[in-house]
Amino acid sequence: MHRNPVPPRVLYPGLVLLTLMLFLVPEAHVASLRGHSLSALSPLLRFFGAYGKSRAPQPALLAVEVPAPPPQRPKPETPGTGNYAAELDWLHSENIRLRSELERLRKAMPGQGDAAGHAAPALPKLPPSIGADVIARKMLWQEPCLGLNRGAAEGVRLHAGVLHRGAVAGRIISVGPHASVVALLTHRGMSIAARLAESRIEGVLQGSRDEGDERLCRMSVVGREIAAKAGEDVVTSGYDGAFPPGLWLGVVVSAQKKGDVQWELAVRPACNENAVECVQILVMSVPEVPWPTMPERNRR
Amino acid sequence: MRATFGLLVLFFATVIVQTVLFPAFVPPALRPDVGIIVAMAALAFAPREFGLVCVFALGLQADLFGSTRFGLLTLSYLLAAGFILWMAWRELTRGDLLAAWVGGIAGTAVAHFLYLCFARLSGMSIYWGAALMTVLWLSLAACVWGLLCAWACGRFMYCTGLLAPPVREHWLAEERLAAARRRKVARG
Repeated sequence: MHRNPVPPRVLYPGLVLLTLMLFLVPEAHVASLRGHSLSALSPLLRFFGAYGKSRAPQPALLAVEVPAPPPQRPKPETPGTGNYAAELDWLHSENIRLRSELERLRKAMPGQGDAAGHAAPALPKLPPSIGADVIARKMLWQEPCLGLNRGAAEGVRLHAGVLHRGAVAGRIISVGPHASVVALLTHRGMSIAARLAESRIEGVLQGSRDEGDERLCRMSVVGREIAAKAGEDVVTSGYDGAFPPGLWLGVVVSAQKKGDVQWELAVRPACNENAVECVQILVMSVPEVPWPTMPERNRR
Repeated sequence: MRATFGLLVLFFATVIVQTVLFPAFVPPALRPDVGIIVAMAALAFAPREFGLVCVFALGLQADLFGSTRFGLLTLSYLLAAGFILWMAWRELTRGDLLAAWVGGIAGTAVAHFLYLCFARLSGMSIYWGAALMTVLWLSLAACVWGLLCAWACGRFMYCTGLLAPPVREHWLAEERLAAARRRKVARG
């Protein structure tokens, strides 16, 4: 029996509606279906995948002395093209590389020598600090702030310094019982006592100076002539009590004379603010300096 | 029955070509989205209903094997097919191989651009330069492989009797004309 076909004016909206309903399918079911489909295709994938591999040399990642550069991740999954075999290969090789890297770092830890009994070189010691994870990122008054999962109960205090991978990331601006907020180096209100690493000139590093697409810090220096040059490192001077001296803040990008005895340096922060996932909050105690007070009679 | 068989063959052939053969033999820059090319060829050669179901089914396979969000690519395929049918249905459904080829290229570009827009709307981070470059490469790959895919799809439909009646008449007339020319040449 011949049936009349469904008219397209009904079929097309129906198919679009059906497609919209596909968005309701849980991701776990889709992943399961994807896995089953790939399993069904696996004999073919293995056969042709082996052919593909024999043509292209694969990077050797095992038993090498010098750590090999990480392999290139395959191109991001282009819509509509299945590239799962390459992705799986990449993940496998990346796993092996990370394991060997972890082993190497374990051996390099202080107090753990290598298999031959040689003592490993000691890593530079960080000031006393506690680790914290970034749990939130928010723009407050158009400035990026990060929420951390450590608060006053864990020993975090207001204005404490925050490090990321050994470089200064910012300062604590708000403390709750079990969480705190850190303002990053480029925050407009940031102010850190700093020093140029080579010329030893002191100044104050402040946030927010837009240089094209990049957000830089500015360092105000008082002096008639300064010998700062682009590329020079900027470190903490330790005068503000929040940071010990010598922590890396950034790199000088340019220097500009603002007045007779006023210079302004553009400083690129050492810490990539967009890639901060975990930090160290400094918990060192600030020594009380017994500054002499002015005698009462002189004040009058 | 015939339509179901044809749909299944097109579906699995596309899956194998897209997932297995192209990644093994073709460099990444020249790997097209076979699904949309075959779907546009089906839309060009087969009856409208079969073509639309084919677009949906091939969109599903593309979603299954290469989409970040299930359903997004199917929706893009359907909307691109609807857009191309709305713009050029008369030219597309005339039965010409060239129209199916151009339809495949246009479908690739439109469907993936829509996919990017929907992905952006659904909150995914899209780097527009790289994404548009990917769409461009897919369109170029469709230029290279589209004619072959459309031809193969057309021949399969011709053999299985899935062509739309006007297209079938068109192709039969062309074959008769070619045969007559051959006989004329043979007679001298």
